[in-house]
Amino acid sequence: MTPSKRAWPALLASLWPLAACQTAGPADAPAVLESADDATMATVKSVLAAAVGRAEITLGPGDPTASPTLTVLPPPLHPNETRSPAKPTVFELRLRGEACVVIDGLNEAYPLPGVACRPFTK
Amino acid sequence: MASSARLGLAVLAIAAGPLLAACSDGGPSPTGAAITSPPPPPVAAPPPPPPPVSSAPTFTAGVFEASGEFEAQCETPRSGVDIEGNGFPDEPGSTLLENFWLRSWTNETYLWNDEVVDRDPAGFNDRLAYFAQLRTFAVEPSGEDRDDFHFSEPTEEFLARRNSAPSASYGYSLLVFSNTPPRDYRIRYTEPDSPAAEAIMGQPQFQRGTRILEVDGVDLVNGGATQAEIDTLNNGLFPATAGETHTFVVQDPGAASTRTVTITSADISPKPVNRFSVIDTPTGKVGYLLFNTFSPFESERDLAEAMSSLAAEGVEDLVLDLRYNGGGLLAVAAQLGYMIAGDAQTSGRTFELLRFNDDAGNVNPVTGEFNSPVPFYDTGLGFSLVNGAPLDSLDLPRVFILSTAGTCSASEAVINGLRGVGVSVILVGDVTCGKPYGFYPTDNCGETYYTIQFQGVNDQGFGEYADGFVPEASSFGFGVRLPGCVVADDINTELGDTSEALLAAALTYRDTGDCSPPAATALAKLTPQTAYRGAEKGALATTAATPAEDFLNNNRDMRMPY
Repeated sequence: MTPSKRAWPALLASLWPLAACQTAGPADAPAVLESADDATMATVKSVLAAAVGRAEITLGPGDPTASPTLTVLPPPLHPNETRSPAKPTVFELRLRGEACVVIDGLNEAYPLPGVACRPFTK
Repeated sequence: MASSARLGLAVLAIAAGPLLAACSDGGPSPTGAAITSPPPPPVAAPPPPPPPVSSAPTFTAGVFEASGEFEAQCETPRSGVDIEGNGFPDEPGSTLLENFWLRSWTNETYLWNDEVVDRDPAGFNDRLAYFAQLRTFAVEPSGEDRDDFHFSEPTEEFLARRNSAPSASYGYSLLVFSNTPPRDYRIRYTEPDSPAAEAIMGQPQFQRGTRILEVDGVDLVNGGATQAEIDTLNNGLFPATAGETHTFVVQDPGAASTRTVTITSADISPKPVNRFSVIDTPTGKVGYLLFNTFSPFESERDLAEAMSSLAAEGVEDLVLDLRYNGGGLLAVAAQLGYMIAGDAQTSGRTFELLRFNDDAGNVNPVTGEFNSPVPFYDTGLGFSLVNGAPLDSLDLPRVFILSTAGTCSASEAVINGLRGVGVSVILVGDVTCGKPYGFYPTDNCGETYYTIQFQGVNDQGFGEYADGFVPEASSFGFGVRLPGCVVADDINTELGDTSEALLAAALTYRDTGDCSPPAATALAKLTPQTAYRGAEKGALATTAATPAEDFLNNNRDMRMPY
């Protein structure tokens, strides 16, 4: 079946990091960012934007240096969307060896190039 | 065509090539080195799309190609990126191809796809005229069209409206009882902490029921004879920018005299939770919550904070005021359901299942994903609360809901979802709007189409309330009847005041189990309209279409003739 044209940016974006890695493995460990400075968050947002197939995203609330969860907000609602199934997209920060990755709900991993993580401890 | 396909694959191969070297098996990197792949490519520049169909498609009744075969093949293709930075997928096509896309997309996703007459797309040279035919024309027992939510708008406008910033206003919501002389404009409610709610010498600038008599020296009631006067009235009632100062002469409910209000506009975002309080009664504490919209992401946090406060106060009943709530996020509605009913009544139960057309099976035909039920979410989801943050709950076996025809969609989902798990809903006010349906607005070639794609059903599989939920004493002969009282919206009393007619009726019903007078008043003869700026020059204000509140908040330049 021919993929939807609207799906191509998302498809390419998802294939890009997937080309570098596959699904999350058992050795992945929950992680948090070492820093949430502007440069780090710019990289994180860039990767997450590509993962959800959008040019611009807004992250939901939370401190990624303390919690391994990142959320990407959906686009804002149009006033006519009075019964919208929209929800934030949830990603988990993981350490794969020394590499920091984010994992989506389908267990697919997206590397965060140049971003430092440390193991998450409760 | 073939070369186009090869080019697309080539681009994918190039994109993937440099990264393959960095692949791991999911475990630690053998070298321990960080993945050093470059940043992902921008999504604004999509790869060449799949090849277009090689020739004009032909119509065979009842035979549908996949909509993807015709998608984004446009009579007038766009180029560049939209205001959200996303690239347009358009390529040269034709109105015929756009019509074929509409036909296939409707067949795949429209809720009543088996009620659509399959017309030849070639018979229409206007895509909107063709789209208008791609719906059911069945009529409900009440005489209402089964589908009265079938429309479209230019995608540019769709994106602009969903990305609109807080707009200039005073923070009031208007009701219009008469838009022709003698005009009757009243304040419906004010936003907390807004210029309209500001108290000057102990007197709020505007209060519920305040009637506006003059604007910047022009008589609103009987004036407006010239275009200049109309402009003055509109400019004062609906300021275009923050920082504008205008002067009103107003009359408060029950007051014999008038007063003058001088007020300055500001950029204001409506508050989802307008107010909440605890009412002490001889039979226990009752929570009151005025919740006006599920739309902004802040609704999640605001609602959770209010419900947490009510839970901490130990309220034993809740009056949930949804009379002006036209809906929004279904997930927040599900959270609200949990916070009312609590874990014991909702654990493992469905708040709402999206029921698609019969061909969809267990798949959401729009997203292609498995159609999972919407549960009663018991944690934050990340809109404005941290994902996973636990929600407090009141654990109530019943809830009083205040309603009008403006109580719509996600608000009705709360009623239906709670009823589905056995929570008793007592409805006080008027018949709700009757919208158990939803859609995913979808762009093709610069037009965003709305077609009903799902019906929300509760844990019992029930979702047949297209004629609304109806207080049991109503003379309206259709809809789903609920225990409760028919009461006219009391515009002259502040919301949350225990003497306000709907709240008073709910409290009376709570004590006595019936709608004894004076609560059970007849509905007002006057049907108010929500004021907003109209599109036609030379005229004042309004008739609001649903969802009125959202139109008010997002359309700043609407006028209509009188």
